[in-house]
Amino acid sequence: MDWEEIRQAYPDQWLIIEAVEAHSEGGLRVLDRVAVIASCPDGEHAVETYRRLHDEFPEREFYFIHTSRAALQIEERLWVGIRSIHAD
Amino acid sequence: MRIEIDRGLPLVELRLGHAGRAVLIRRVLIDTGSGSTVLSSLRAKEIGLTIDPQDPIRTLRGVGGMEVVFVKRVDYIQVDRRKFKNFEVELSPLNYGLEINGILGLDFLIATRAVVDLKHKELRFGRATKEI
Repeated sequence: MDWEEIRQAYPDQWLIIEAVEAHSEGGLRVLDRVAVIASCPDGEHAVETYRRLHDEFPEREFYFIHTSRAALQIEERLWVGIRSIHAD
Repeated sequence: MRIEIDRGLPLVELRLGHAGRAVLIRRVLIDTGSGSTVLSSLRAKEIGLTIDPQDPIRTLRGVGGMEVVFVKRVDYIQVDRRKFKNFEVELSPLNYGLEINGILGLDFLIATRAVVDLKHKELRFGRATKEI
């Protein structure tokens, strides 16, 4: 589904979506194909659900987002990440 | 601010203030490898700062994998007695298995003219003004 189709199918609610296909372009993460994973009662639940899914499936690309947003508009930033010699 | 080196990582503590409330956030990593400043959404929630439908969303991507965050402009970040007002932070339910509650990124370190003094294990700020 694309974002407009999702907005019509799930109006005015918090969702967890997964980018099935995505690419980076001009500082944005562009989601070409999106699957809806869950609907959440509020934003906090959406963030918590994201955390759980992200921990369980770190290689998959999940987002928390509200369907009142006209466009996805996901900025992309680079981050080297934390590496500690003693980390588990 | 004293820097604590824990398991090879430099940590400080700060106070996050917004809408008349404030929370002390311990174990925040000083990270010049992060362009932005990320704080735990769980700590932010303690002062009523939660995600809103129109908050910008970003994805941080790199060697460490990928992380989705939402963006808030907060009233201030305070380190020791120095208050830096009207600062944009990224909030995320951080979980790196390292027990850290945030990342003080290069945006904050540059804006505050920070000096990371590893000889004395101290984080100082080079500007007299209290505002960024």
